[in-house]
Amino acid sequence: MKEMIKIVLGLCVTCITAACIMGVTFIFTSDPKKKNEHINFEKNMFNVLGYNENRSIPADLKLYSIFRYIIIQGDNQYLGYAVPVGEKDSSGYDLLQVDTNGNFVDHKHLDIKPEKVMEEGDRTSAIKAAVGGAATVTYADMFFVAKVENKRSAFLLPAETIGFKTTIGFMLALDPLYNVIGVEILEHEEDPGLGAEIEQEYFKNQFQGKSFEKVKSIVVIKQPIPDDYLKFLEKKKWRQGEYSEQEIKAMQQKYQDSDINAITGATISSVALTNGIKVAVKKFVYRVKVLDTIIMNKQIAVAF
Amino acid sequence: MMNAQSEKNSISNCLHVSSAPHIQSEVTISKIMWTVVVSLLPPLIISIFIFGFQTLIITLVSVVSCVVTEAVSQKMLNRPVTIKDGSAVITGLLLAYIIPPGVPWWLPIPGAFMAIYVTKILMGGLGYNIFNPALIGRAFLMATYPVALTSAWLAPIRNGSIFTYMNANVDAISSATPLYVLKHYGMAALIEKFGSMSVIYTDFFFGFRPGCIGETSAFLILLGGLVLLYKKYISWHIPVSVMGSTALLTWIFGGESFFTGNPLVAILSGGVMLGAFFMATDYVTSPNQKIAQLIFGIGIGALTVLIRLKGGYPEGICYAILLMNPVVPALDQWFKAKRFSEGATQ
Amino acid sequence: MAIQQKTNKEIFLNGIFNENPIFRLALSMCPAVAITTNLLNGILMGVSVIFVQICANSTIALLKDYIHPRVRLPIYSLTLATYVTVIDLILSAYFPVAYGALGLFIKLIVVFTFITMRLDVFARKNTVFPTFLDAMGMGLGFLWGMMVIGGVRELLGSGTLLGYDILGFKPMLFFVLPASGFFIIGFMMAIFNYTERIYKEKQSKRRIPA
Repeated sequence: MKEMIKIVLGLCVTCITAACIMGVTFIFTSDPKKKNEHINFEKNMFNVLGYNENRSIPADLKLYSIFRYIIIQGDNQYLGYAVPVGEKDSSGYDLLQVDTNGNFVDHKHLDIKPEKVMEEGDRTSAIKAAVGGAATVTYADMFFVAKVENKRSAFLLPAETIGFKTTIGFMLALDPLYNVIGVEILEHEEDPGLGAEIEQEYFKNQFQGKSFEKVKSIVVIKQPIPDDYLKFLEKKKWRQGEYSEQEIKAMQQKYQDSDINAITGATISSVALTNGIKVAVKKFVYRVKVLDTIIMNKQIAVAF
Repeated sequence: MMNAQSEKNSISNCLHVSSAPHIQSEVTISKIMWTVVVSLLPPLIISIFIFGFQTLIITLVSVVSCVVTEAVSQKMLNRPVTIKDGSAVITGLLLAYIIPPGVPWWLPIPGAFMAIYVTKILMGGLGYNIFNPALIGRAFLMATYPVALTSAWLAPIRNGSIFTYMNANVDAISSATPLYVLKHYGMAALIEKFGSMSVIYTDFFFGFRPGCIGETSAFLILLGGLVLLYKKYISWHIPVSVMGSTALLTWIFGGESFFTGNPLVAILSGGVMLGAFFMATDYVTSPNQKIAQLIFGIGIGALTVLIRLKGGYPEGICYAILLMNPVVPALDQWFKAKRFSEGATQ
Repeated sequence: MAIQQKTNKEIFLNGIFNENPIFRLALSMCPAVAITTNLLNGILMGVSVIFVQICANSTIALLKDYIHPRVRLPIYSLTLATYVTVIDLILSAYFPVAYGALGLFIKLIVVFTFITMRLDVFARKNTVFPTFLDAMGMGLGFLWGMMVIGGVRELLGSGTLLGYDILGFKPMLFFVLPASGFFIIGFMMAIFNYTERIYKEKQSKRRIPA
């Protein structure tokens, strides 16, 4: 009995000590950790927008997030857009309910604080409360709108597509006229040396500067990339001042209407990503046009 | 046990292969091996005319590096040097035969190191290797230089100018293999590429199609295989079961609906013929007994079709044989020949 | 006990060569092949392991009189888990890049067999200073093993070292794949066995005239 008490006491003391050490560390590290995650996410977004060491981020750049939900009420299916409303610092979120033909149905205020909106659980329950009744609410996707000097400067949309093996997750940046600003590969499981080359600059940067009209009909061709274009695409290898602004513009102009050159030995992955981008852009443009029309007609004071 | 016996024999290089009753006692390992080498030569000669002179260079580099690797590593390990038995030459030939004709000339060298040193010598020498050395060499090259191994295919030369591809840029001239076309674009695209169905059959039979160096000419491989069958160095069980199961399963599952696949194209395209006659029948890495050989062959055929139809790669014979190789000891164990083992087990 | 007759130097060197956790004991192979795609990952993992090993070993050596032998394994696990959590949190807060590469494997240090093994085999029976030396040696042995594997794989697989372009091309993509880790470990084991044989032959020759 005495031994047992000894064991129990010993284990208790160890557990409490361990818990204390872990707790103290957690308190000291939780803030920098959250900050890191936030920075990392933003860095990806700024990268795809083309801001890097050479091109600094404008001070008044603001990002607004819009969430798309599928709402099923009885036999009817609706789309729900959770959009930030209010001036400047978005003061709240509203829900715009749209039917499948793109007609406006309902406009409700969401009871959620702006800083909680990125948490999927809180957001979904707020939407459920707003819709009310026995509706099924499912999260579909989201996109971001970047504003500079109170004007829309870009759309950012995370998307995914089926690659050679599993899904390829990527982020697309489009300008307000839906031309491609950049593509960033977020996650993939393609073969190293073959399909994995999609994350190399010489492939993904080929999408930069492609117009919406071109993207709608873009295809993959099996030809090697011309040498001057290849050098231009590998931006990380540029020396300081390798290209002047005019030269960059000229190069982009020159290859504006060229198709995508496939990765040698990985045509399937190249085609998969290209088609994924094509589909994502087409769908997104349709949706955002519907959304914009509704916002204009109903005079909703959205933040973006 | 018989396997172990033959393994020991093969080390000393002059004793009998005692594994199967149909092999005459005066036949030595090296005599069989050199016959295999001779029967493997016709596909090489025709490949020079189909894919150009550089295939000869690639093959020579492969054979020389295999033989040199074997000699050097056996010297270093203080073992008897057995390059005269011809097994390294066969590995070198087969390794060259299963890589595309447009690869750089030095490519077989790392493959040969992997095939001979790691797969064969480190396992204990000829007779002790679990896997087929040439196929391990290819699998290694596939993992190491995937771009070359999956895109350096050349369109066949038909005008006899065998130096066409010598200094060409492979990127500009690469051509898809029939299996690649079939997998990603379907039968209609294949017919469109070659003309008509009858052209496909004749071209594929004589070897005028994109593919690995030694795998394209079904006719010459068949010729070499028949020589080995006639000499009774191999039995019909493995080749027939490999090709039969590949054809049958492709016929059932290969088409758009059941029972519409084309079995003949499945056998004539890709490396099934070469694999069935020359790689699956390797003495060391195939079972001894007839039933076991049939099961081994059917396993290879089924895996090949599975990889071709559902896997990531257009061709699966290489990995199919490699996957069946480690099953061989179990097959040997399960299907012992009664009349030999009764005395031996005690 | 034989182990106590060893000098401090021998204790320290034991983990680096004689009982190198990767190349001689063949323990903790999972991280050794999974994260060593480049030299930096290898170094970071090795350093984290040294930290955990030293802290855990010293703690156990200090508290060995108070640990009831019946429940020593739960206490080892708790000790390890505490230190691993600490280093996990610190890395994620202050070294986000490294954490991105190592994330999952840092948590796995809890179940690294050779760390627990050192706690039970050595720390439990020795005083703090030899235990510290032993932990240092074992950790350094692991670190240099990881560095060798990571360095060879990065150099041959991507042609770089610590991210700097050394070769300018990618010699053998095979070395990016996890299978190559086993390959290198195999060759390193062979080298270890070979040097051991040579060393022993020399020693026995020396002894004969004496």
